[in-house]
Amino acid sequence: MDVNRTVPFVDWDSAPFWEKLKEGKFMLMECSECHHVFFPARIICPECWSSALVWREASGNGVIYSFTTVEAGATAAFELLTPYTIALITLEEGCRVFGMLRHGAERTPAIGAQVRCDFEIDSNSGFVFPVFGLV
Amino acid sequence: MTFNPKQCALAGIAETQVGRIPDRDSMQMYAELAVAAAQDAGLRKEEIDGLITGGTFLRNVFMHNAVVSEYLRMRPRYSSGLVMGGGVSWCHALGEACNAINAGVCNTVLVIAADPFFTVCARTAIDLMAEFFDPQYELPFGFVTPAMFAFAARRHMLQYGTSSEQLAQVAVSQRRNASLNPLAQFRKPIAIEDVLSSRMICSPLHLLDCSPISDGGGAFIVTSGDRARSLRKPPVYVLGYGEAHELEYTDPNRDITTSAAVRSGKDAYAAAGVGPEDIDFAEIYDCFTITMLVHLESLGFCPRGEGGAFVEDRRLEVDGDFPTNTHGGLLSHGHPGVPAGIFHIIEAVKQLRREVEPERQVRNTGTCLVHGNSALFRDAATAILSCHHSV
Ligand SMILES: [Zn+2]
Repeated sequence: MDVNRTVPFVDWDSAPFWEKLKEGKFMLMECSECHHVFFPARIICPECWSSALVWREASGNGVIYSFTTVEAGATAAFELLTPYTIALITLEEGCRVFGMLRHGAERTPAIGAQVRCDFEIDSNSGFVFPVFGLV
Repeated sequence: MTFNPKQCALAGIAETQVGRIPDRDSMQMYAELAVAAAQDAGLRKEEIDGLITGGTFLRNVFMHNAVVSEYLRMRPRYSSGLVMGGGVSWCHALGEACNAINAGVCNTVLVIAADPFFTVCARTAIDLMAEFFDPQYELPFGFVTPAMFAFAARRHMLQYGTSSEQLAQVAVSQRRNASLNPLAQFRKPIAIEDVLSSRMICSPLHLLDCSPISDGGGAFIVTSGDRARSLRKPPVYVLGYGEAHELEYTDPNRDITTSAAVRSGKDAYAAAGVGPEDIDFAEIYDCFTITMLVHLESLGFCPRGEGGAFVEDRRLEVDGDFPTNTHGGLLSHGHPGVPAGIFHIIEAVKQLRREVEPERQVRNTGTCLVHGNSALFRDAATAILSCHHSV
């Protein structure tokens, strides 16, 4: 799907995350000291402040924590895409992430429903975005 | 904690009509509000030695507080340009003013906020507000402000069985309060059906579950209790103040149906030596209807999950059991961007002084709670106000 998205402002923490999305991988971080798994990436573990961190690939499985369908009042970049559904997803690894949720007109999302991460390229910017779909 | 807000009092207030003010820009409103607040308190410019301002959505003004200070030709001892911290800003500013006074840095602080948000920004307001969101994890995913609150509303519905009708009741009651307030933007009474049939913005939130966009501004003056007693109007004492900052809504440890107000409220009650049962009426930052339910619970006015039932029977109306947002709140009095939460404080002062129109004067005005919150209940500031030195 060709979508006129706002191009993400990539920072030094997140550059590897956006790169790995191009390989179809949703990367989280894990602390080598306390084993806390977190998202988004940071230079220190937000839990214990250790700087011993490793990247870890998410399984891509999660459940819907909450969701909404934006029907009006979108930003200019998204106006033509309404209605679209966005959701907070609790990944299997425990992180809560924010993302687009694709569901056909025949399927209604629900809190607690199982979702799986997929990847979509935006041909304008070359960025790959994670999108979630109902399992 | 050593914070002793009882030594401070609100001594002056000023406000514009809220709605459309096509003939004033932001700085002109700031100036006129400063003059009006000083007159209300009976203070001369030279007697005000502290200034807190809130900027404007119109353009990014570097050192906004200094620019306002220069415009007003003031030379304060203490000055702070609050960054736009959203709805928590004005309760936070009240706390800041008390802190500066109690620390002996200055004696009298003028707090002002004004914006022609509707006239200048109506078309671009959504994009302007979007600039505050995360530019890589929120904006590229189609994020908008009402979506965050829709997330909370849907969780509240699932966890506690809250209905769209109960959310709508908040909007209906606040409209009734606004209908009695000549300074409010939306004064035509509405019914629950009107809320439910208004267009869907971010499901399950309808248009009338959301704040409008408005022009307007307000100001208040805080000074020492001793000085306030010698001024024109009855002092409104700050009996307690508390502030708390929570984790983001994306943090897996956050239950987004609760607010940092649980902690800010607890500290404010403790400082004042009161509990929720001692509060006669409240003015609570209400950007969306769900915000009210969450805060009625988080501030202890009803048990967790029972906000929906609490607002039934028109309890929040000026003549109801627990008058709340008696000016109409952001939902109906209006939401002028930066100054949005300042009117809750101003309304509390007017009600406590018993100087509002008789038809909307709250019966019991012993003690009032005012509350500001930002960023999906992440940041919270609560103050407890009274004309009496102790409750
Ligand atoms: Zn750690």
